[in-house]
Parts: sequence; structure tokens; C-alpha cells
Amino acid sequence: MNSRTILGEKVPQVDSWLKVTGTLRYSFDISLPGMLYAKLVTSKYAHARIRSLSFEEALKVPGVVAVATGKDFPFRLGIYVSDRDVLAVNKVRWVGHPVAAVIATDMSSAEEAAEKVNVDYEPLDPVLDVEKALEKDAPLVHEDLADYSVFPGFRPVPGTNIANEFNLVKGDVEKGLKESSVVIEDTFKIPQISHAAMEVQNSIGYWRPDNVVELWSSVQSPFATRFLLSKSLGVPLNRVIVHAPPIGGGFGLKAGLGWEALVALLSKKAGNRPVKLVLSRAEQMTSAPSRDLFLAKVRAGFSKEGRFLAYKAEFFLDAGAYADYTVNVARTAGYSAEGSYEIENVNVKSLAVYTNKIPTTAMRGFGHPENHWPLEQILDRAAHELKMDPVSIRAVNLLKPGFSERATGEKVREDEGNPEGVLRTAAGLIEIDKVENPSVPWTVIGKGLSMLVKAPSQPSNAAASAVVKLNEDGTVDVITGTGSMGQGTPTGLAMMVAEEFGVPLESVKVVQTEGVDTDRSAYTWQTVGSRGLFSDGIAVLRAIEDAKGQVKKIASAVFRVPEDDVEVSGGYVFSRTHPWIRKELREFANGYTFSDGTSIGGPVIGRGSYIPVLNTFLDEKGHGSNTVFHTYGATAVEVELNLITGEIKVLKAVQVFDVGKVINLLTLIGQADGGFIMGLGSALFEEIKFDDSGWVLNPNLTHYYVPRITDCDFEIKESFIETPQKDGPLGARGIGEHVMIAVAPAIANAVFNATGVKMNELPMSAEKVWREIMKQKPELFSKALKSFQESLKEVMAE
Amino acid sequence: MSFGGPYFTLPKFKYLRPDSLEELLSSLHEHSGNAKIMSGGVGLLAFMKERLTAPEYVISISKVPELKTLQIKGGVLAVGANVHLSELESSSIKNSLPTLYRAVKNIADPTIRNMGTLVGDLAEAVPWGDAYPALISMEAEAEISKKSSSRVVPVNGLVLGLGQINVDDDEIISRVLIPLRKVRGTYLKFANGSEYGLATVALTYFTEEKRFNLVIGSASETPVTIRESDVDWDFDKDFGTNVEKLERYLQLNVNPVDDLLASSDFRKNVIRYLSLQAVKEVFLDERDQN
Repeated sequence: MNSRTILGEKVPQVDSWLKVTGTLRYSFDISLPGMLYAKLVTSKYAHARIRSLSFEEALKVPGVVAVATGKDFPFRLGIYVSDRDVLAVNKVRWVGHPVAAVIATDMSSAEEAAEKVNVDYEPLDPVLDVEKALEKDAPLVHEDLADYSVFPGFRPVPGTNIANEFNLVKGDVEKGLKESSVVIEDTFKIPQISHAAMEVQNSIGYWRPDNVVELWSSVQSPFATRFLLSKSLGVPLNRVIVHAPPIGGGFGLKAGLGWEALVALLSKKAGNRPVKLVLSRAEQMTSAPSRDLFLAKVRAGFSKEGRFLAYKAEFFLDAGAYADYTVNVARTAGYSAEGSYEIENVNVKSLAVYTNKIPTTAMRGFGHPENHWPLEQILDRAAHELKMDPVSIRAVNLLKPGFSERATGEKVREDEGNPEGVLRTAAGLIEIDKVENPSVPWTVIGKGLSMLVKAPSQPSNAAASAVVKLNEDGTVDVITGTGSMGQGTPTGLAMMVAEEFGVPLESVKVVQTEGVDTDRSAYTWQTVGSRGLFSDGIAVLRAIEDAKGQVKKIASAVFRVPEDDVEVSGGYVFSRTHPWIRKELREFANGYTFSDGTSIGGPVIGRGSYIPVLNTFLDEKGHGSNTVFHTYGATAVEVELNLITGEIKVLKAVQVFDVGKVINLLTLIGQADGGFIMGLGSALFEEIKFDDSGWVLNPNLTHYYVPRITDCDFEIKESFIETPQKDGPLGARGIGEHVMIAVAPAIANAVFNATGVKMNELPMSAEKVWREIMKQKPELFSKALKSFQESLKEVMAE
Repeated sequence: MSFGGPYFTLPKFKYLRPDSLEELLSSLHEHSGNAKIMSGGVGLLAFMKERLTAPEYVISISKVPELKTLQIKGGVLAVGANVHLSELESSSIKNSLPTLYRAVKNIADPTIRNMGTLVGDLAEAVPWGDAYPALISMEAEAEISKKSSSRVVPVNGLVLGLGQINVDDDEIISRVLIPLRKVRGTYLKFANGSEYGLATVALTYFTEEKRFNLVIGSASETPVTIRESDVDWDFDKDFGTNVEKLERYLQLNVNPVDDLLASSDFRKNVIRYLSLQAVKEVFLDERDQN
């Protein structure tokens, strides 16, 4: 019997070996007999009517089986608002909008034929700026918005480019601002960024001759994909099968419905043969969604003691040509705008707005990297004006678990976490009061920190389920629905099961480690929102309890003791009061067989279900109770800023999170480090650039720069606080998104604290920083340049 | 218009793999205008993927022994077309040819340097490339061969602009020849938000001749070379005065372009910074140049 716990240990993810040896199969690797390949033909205009489309020349290319156009599939798709077509029907809405698809026996032929599809466009005025899109006579991206079906809780405004409007009101914000000693007012902007997942989107659709629709696709949430396919194609749920192998990065890009409806329909068109679509990187960055562009106009008021009296904010999310998850990202950015703080008066308006640019969708953080960007900088700026330090001003305003209420009216439970502990730990680890002198006088060293908090953004009925099966040899199979994208949830669940049954980790298999199959998996709403370990974990623990209950029932008969006297732990089943009466767990796995051959019970199949408790919709003022847990965190950095070139170099980073309970320490460290690096990318480098016709200028990883290992030459200190979540699985909370939310504001605060330069726009590229220095503090530049020149003026003896 | 085609496949081509220089040049002559040369292919295949080029024939030089040579002979380092950048990195040039060594270290990343070649980087003729400005500053020459003859020309002037190189369709750059003189040198690259440098500076100081070439790459279509005479650099005067002259020259004569990587005013600022860093490294930090 093993009494040592596995929880809190550093456990390599159970599929690591498969991944590094190239054994793990992704949907990219899958090939089916008779499979065909699809290639998209995409729009060259940001906004245009399709006058005509011809493809006779394309059909002549050897290997081409068919060409599909929008008219073949006049369906509308959409996870919240059905604003998306399968292929453009009458008009194109962005450069890259698919207008046709060529189906051929091989990829080369498909690509060759795609160039021979001729489209005649009648250009229309595009709207490429989110503020212009809100003007009275702006061109409408979706003139038929009134006809689109809309999921409850979302409010598009027909006759405008507004895909969703969300409002959060608490108290009287104008009164609060009037009473404030210090008011910080500014405009903040974050450009569109790419998920840059290593594995591009790829799907195989197979509309079988028996009218079962089968998909193999790189998706995060196969049950959501199945549901949306069923709804849009009009096929019953149990005649849609989605196979979701592990994916090479999701980050929200693959959260809902990608290209599955298209490939399924292409399969039907091609005579019921499987059709595979694989995007090139350029197509991934121009025809598939990115993250929203975020514009925030804010006014924040503070008392002279630093109390946050008022926060008035307008968020404009440029959702691109179709809004997908972004309507919810806007809503979420709105209702969680106050972050970790209790603000007396709040007025937030958050809009998702259509423009004629690439569509947008969910991305790791779901509105929180966006809304934390202005919020956390405002605190440092207010502190500066009030002659307080950044830690004190936060401590004054942090939400107090057990006492505070959010602006939504939701009570902050006592077990929600320890935000003050997180704050002080981060400040301590970065030694925020101790700022070093730079090695050379034309650089400066700065330290900054940012808090963060996030809950899963999910519907009030986002459920999960799990099945636990005992095998005859005592090993355990766990059946869940949660997907694998490197975040390690299957490993965490396996550890929980191993812990609860007291069996070695190797005895536990989470079946979905190698892929989720809707026919053979237990339902979970989606693999998003940092909800996996929590929601699926609770379901798994309930399944374990259920399994144990079945074992106890059988054991009670075998041991001839009451059921409540039976214990199941450490791989054994025994009487609590008479512990010498015991047998191995495996003897009960398939019922129990006595020595004379008689058998009782049957296979042990534990079942667990979970649904959020007491979650409600939010009303028109944004009031309600719509979260299941909050994870608090803080990111702190020490940076070196070159005052001549504007280049920011991270010297040290600190990541602190109140995770409730550390399940897999190795995964947590990996998440903290990886999340920091991903946050670093959007903080310093990443930006999708457009020209003034709506073309993406950098749809490749050469000019869209994602951090490399050479950019990560600094240490990251991770610290995990454990304030148990009472209703969490073993006390745990989620962490998947939190790790990247606060990176950019922490760096901006470091720059501000060192120089007084305010960085309102991302990315903080060297050029952008230089320009802001020149605009706001030109004397810093000239002093730096002078000191650099001085360093050269040593007399050289030749 | 965006940079980057949506292609997943390469355009169709025939692959030839000669095993001697003679056979290579013969093939090249035969298919002149319809052929491209490939070693590691890190440049060519990317361009083909984007359909920026679609040659009928791709001629590999990987089995041509004459192009594999990396040797010092007669005071000249000869780098064959098929010498990979990683081989240069691990050779002795770190001390003898510091400008080249540091430029090579700045090309792409270690994985690509295993496949890529110095000649290939030069032949790509991308204005943000690292090999060209470094080779110019070292006064390298290029041996350009074709079926019946070869010529040796200065590397400086070989590249005329993006994708435009002074090499005919039936010719290849078979070797780059770098004279080994007593030098101090450095190569600095400022990259931010891209793989490519938005400003690059190659400085080679010929110590016995008391002259230098400061080459600024990435600022415009072709690199700008500044010699000591251009700025009236007087080795007998104090360093500070010379630096001031250099700064004034840069201010008046180097006007970088606006492009995807940077705006011209920022570029100008970084070029000044890198140029001053370079002269500081080469002329002041003698201890580091051993």
C-alpha cells in the first residue's frame, strides 16, 4: 500500500513519449482510402459583390473531381450569431474570404486548378477601422443581420455593424469621477494577433453513403463541433461523429467550428468520398480567424487614499468579417473589466464590431489580456500621481474574499483565493523595491507587476461527465470528453484517479489522451476557458465515488459487513473496523466470484456528472452570477530598456498563481513558463499588419514574429499558492489561460516605473517604444545618446 | 498586396543531381533560364513554395565535390558554394575573419545554418540578408563559373536589388574568395519583430593598411559602404573627433527606406547606434579582439 501522495509531484505528461518520438497521430497525419483534397479560392477584395464565378478551366485540370461554390451550400453557421457562410454566396467580406473550393485527387492538382477559377467582383466600399464601422453611414458588413439566428444573451444590432453590445453598470460612475482626487484618462489599443499554433487547421470530412457525417479534425471541443454540425447540416446528433486527435496547439483557434461543415459538404458534393482540407500558414493567417483588435477608452477615478472610486470604459473589439466567439469575448471583457479589484462605481460598455477584415475568434485569455491591458496600467499611473507605490494601491483595492461583491453583483466567496497573498508573493519574488543600476548609462532597469484574475467564460449549463471502468487486473480506464492540446489535463485527471484509488499512476489510463471521439467519449461542453481540470475533474471524482460505491456494495456481501464499513483505498478493499479482512481491488472489478464459482455484482462502471452550480444569465445591466471559480495570479518582471533604440529585454520574470491545489507541479511550471513566453510575444513582437485595402502584410512566421528560444534568455520564478477551492476537485482550480494575461501590462508598468513613459499600444516594439520616448520624454533619449557618445570619446593612443 | 502565397505544394519540377562541376555546368548551360541551383534549399524551396520562382529544373549541387571546398590557399579563404554555414561557424575564421564569423552567426538560426550556405545567402539577393554586407566589408570576390569559362568579380556590386543579382542564367557562383589580411572586425544586427535585421552593420578594419569599410545593410535596396576617406577619418586624431565626423556623415548621407520592418527615421536612429557600437568594438575594445 502506497501512502505517499502523487499530488504536487512533477509528473511528465503521459503522452510526452509519444509526442517526442513522433508516434502520436494528429489529424494532419491521417489518410483515408479514396480521400480527396480540397483547396480554397479566396477573395482578393475586402468588400465586394460576386458578379459571376466560372470554373470550366479548373475542371479541365487532371485530377479535379468537382468545384464547389457558395451557391451549393446556402447555409449559415455561427456559434453565437449565425453570421458565417460556408463559402461566400453573394458577397465577400474580407481579403481571404473563401469563395470556392476545388476538390481533386491530390493537393498539387487542387492548387493548380484553384488558380483557374475566375471570379468577377464588383468592389464595394470596405470598412477597415473599428471606430469608422460605428459611424452612421458606414458600409454594412452584414446587411441581413436581422435574419441571423442568435444565441440567447447576445444582442447584435441590425442596421449597424454591431455584432454584440454588453453593458455593466454599478452605482453612478459620473458621481464617482467627480469625487475623485485623481482621474486617469487614456486610450489603449491592441492589434490583431495570430494564435500561431504549430499545427495549422486541417479537417477530413466524410459524408458517408449511409448519411452519417464523420469528421477527423484538429479541434479542441469535438462535442461542440458535433453540435454545431448537427444544427447547421440538419443531421441528428448521433449521426454525426467527430474524431478529435490530440492537436498541435489550439489556444482558442480550434475551440468551436472550423472547417468541418465545409469539408463535410464537399465530401457529399464529391460523391461521398472523404475530403481533406489543410491550410497553408498564409491561409491560416488570412482566411481563418485571428484574435480581435481591442480599442479601449477609459476614465478611472481614485480618492487621495488610492481607493478606486470609478471606472468608466468603452471597449471596441474589432471582430472582423464574422464574429464567432468574439461576441462573447466582448461580453466577457465587459463583465470582468474590474479585474481583481472592488470598484465603487462602474460603467463599462463593450462592443463587438464587424469590419471587412479577417474574422476573429476566441484566444487564450478570452478578453482578459485585452481588459487587463488598460486596467493594470491605470493602477500604476494612479499610484504615481498619488505618490503611492504600485503594491499599496493594489492592496487597498483588492477584492476581499468572503466580503466583496463584483460589479455584476456576484459575491466573492471566501474560498475564491488569496489575491493579497498572490500580490505580496509576486512583489517579494521580484524584489520590487530594489531596482538595480544598469550596466551602461544609456539603458535603464525597471520593475513592474500586474495582477490578473479569470473565471471560465462559459454558459451557465456548461456540463461535464466521466466514466471510470475497472479492468480485471485492477487497472483503471477513465473516459472523459476533454481534449489534449498540451495543457496536460488527461495527466492531471489520471493523477487524481491514481490518488483516489491508491493505485500507481501507470495503472490509470485516460482513454482520451490519444484523442476524443464523440461516439466513445463522455460528454463535456468544450475544452476551453481553463475549465478542464475543474469541471472534468469533478466529474471524474464523482465517477470514482460511484465506482467505489459499487465496489462497496459487492464487498459488503463478500465481507459480510455493512456497506458503510467498507473502505476502498491504496489498491485494496477492506473493512474499516476489521482491517485484516481485505482483498485486492481487482477482485471486484468484474463483480466478485466466490471459491465455489458463484458470482455477484458485475463490471464496475463508475459514472460522474457535473454542471455549474447556481449560475445565471447576466441581465441588461450585466448583473448575475455566472462563474464557477476564479484563479488569481500576478506576473512581475524586471526589464532592461535601451533608451536609444527602445528595445526592451526581460531580465527576470515571476509568475504567481493561487491554484487551490497543486496537482501536477511539472505541468504548472510548464504552463507558467510557456504562458509567460506566449504573453511576451504579444507584449513585444506580435502584430498582424494590414495595408489600406485590407490585405494582411505579414501572413508568415518570418514577419509575424513569435518568440524563439533565443528571446528567452532570462529566469522565470514560479510560485503556486494553495487556497483550496471548496467545490473544486481536490481543491484545485484551472490555470490554462491565466499564465499569459498579465505579461504585457507587467512589462508596460516596468517601463513606466523606470521612465514615466506610458505605453498605450501593443506590441511594445523597439520602434514604438522609441517613438513614445521621443514624444513623451525626449530628454531621456538625448541624455542617453549623449552618454553613449561620451563612452566613445576616450582618447585612443595609437 | 501581401507577401506569401497560400500554397502547400511545390510547383512541379525535374530534379537533377550532377556529381561533378563539369556535369553541373553542362546541365546549367543546357537548361539556361529554366533552372535554379539548390544546396540546402532553405532559400529556394521557400521561394518556390510562394511561387516567387518556378523553375523547370532544380539542379542540386550537393554531390559536386569541387563546390565543397573550404580552404585557405595563397592568403585567401575559399568558400565553396556547397559549404554549409555551420561548417564556417566551426572553422578557424572566428579569429581570422571576425566580420564574416559574426555575420554567419547572425544568419537565421542554428538549424537553418546546417542546411544553408554562404553563397546561397548571397544569391538570394534579399536586402535584409547578412552575407552580402559582411562580404563587401571584407572586400571579398566571387568566382562565377559557366560551362566554358569563369570570371572573378568583386562581391560588391553583385546584388542590384531584391532578387536581382549580376549572374547570368547559365552561371553559378562557385566560390566566394575572402582575402586574409590582418583585420579587426565585427557584424552587428538589430532585429526586432522579424527574423531579419532592420539594420545591419559590417565593419572591417585593415590594421596594417589603416583603412576600413563600414557597410550598412538593410537600410535600402543595396548596402551603403563608408570608407575612412569618405568621413575624413584621421587615425592620428582623437577617437571622439572621428566619431563626430562619422555621425555627421551618417546624418547627411545615409537615408534609409520605410518598409515592413521599420520606418526610415527609426532605422536611421538604429543605424547610427549600431555604427557607433561597431567602431567602439573594433577600435576601442581591443582586449576583446584576440
